[in-house]
This record gives sequence, C-alpha cells and structure tokens, in this order.
Amino acid sequence: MNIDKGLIGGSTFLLLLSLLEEADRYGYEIIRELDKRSNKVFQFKEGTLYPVLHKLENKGYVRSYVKRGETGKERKYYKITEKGQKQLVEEKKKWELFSLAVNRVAGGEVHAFA
Amino acid sequence: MLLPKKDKFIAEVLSHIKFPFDKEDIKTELEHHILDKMEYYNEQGYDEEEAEQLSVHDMGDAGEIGVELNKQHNPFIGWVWVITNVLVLFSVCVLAFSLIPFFSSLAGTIPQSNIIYTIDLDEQVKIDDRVIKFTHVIYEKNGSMNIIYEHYDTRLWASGWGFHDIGEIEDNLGNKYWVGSSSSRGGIKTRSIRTVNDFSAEADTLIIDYDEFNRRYRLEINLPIGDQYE
Repeated sequence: MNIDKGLIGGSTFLLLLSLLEEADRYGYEIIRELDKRSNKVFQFKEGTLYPVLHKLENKGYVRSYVKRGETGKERKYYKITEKGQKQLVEEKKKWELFSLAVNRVAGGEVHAFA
Repeated sequence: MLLPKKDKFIAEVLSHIKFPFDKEDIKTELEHHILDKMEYYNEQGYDEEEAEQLSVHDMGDAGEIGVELNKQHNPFIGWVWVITNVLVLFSVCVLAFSLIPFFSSLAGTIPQSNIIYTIDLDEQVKIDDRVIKFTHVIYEKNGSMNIIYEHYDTRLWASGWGFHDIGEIEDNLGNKYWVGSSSSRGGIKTRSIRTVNDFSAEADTLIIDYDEFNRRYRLEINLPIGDQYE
C-alpha cells in the first residue's frame, strides 16, 4: 500500500530533519533511506525532494556543502543546523498532537471534556 | 555516454529557474541523483537505456519540479545578493585605490632598479589661484630626471585652464632641458610628473624656473652627485 504525497506533505519536514539529525546526507541517500525505512510506503517522485530541501535551506534549518563521499564522487550534502534542531522538536510535537487526534477520532475513544 | 532523456529532463527543470546563478548548482544536483539511480538500475540488470528511462521517470514531472524549485530560488533576493556583493567589492576597490599614496601610483611606474636616487621635497609655490606643491625628484640611470608635483586651484569651481607647465628645467651648469614628457591624473587635486631626458649627472642643482604672464618663481633643488650616491 502506498500513501499519497498529500498525506506525507504535512510531515515532510519532520521526516527530512529526522534523517538529517542522524547524519549529513545527500538527496539520493535521503530517498534510499526513506524507501528502506518506510518499507516503500512513502513513494513519491524523487525530484520533488529537492524543492523541499532547498526550502529547508532557505529557512535556515539545514545548510549544504559539497563533499566527496565514500564512493569518491562529489555530492551536495545537507546538514541540520541549530535552528533545524529546534524546528525538529516542534515538528515532533505537532506530529504527536496530530496522530493523537487522528487516533481519538478514528479509534472512537471516548473523552470526557472538562 | 549520451543520456538524452536525462538531459531533456534537466533542461525542462532549468527552464523554470529565473535566477541564472543557481542553475548550475541545481543541474549538478539533479544530474547526480539520476546517475546514482541509474547505477542502481544497472545493478538490477537493466541496460543503460532502460536504466535512464526508469530513473528519469522516478524523478517525476520536470515542469512541476522546476516551478517549485524556482520558488526557492527567488530571483529578486538572488539579484539583491549579487548586486550587494558587487557593490561591496566596488567600495573596497575604491577605498583601496584612494589609499594608495600618490607616490606609489604615479612615481611607482618607474622601476626601482632604474632609480639612482630619490629626493623628497616639500616646496610649495602659488601662481594666482593655482598652488603647486613639489613632492619628489627622481633621477634614473638612463639620465631621466622626474619632477613629481601636485597642483590644485584654490577656486573650487575653476576648471583646469591647461596650466600644466611648471616652468623651465635647468641645472647649475647652464643646461636647459626641453625634451621629455609629462602626465597627470586626479580630479581637483591633480598629480603630475614631468620628465626631462638626459639630465646631466654632473649637475648638483636642479632649477625650475617659471616666468610667464608676469608671474615668476624659481626653485633650486640640491642634487647628490658622484660619490654621494655611487
């Protein structure tokens, strides 16, 4: 089962910043990692990653640099910044709130409103 | 290795990018991605052409990506950035130029190895509204005598009326020097160099004698001779 890109949309920053928090990565590496970890649930067009990465860079959440990787090829790596780390915490909170709300609605949990 | 599909994809993306300075970066990044993906398909047993076809397909719609990328590469901010850089560089150059002292910019055209001696002067004369300040005398091995001076008009609105003649150049032996050259640069305060050829090595005094339009001055500058500089 694949999930359409609209759904990932809201959590793109969370996914990308999480992956970059672990290590500096270049675009293709990020795609491979997303594929692997999500068991190919997140299938989106690979080229659409770049406008998002460049947006993260414009916002100051990541910065980029060119480096020769293990393969000996030059690649443009993205590195999370301090501002990005803070944003990641925010994104995680938002996601928790969101998934909690989805669970409550879809799970039919009963709430007592104070 | 020709990869027309890859090239077409990238060209389509770039056609949407309005800020020219970022195009090369975007091109390289997308190209690397497609080549990496092709390598993956090659390993899966696909031939070159199939690998290219699949890799480009996986990228998605070039037009859509180009439009989205262009939003992140705002030409306005980009140009402000470029223009700011150019202006900063320009200001630094202007500052650097204004800091170069006159002596190195004009007299500096005389190679150090040609110079026999340099005399620093601080002689100022005034003719009507024009002030001439003699700053250096440089004697060269080929016999050229260079007289370096600044001149300006005390009336700020005055445009130069072609007063570049500082007078006749003579020496204490009675020689007069006509042949030579002169050059000037600068705005309100003009910096000039007057060069005369074949100045006598035996002369111990350089005389600048001005006598025109009923205005006169006479400067005598002592020169080192013989053992003093050899």
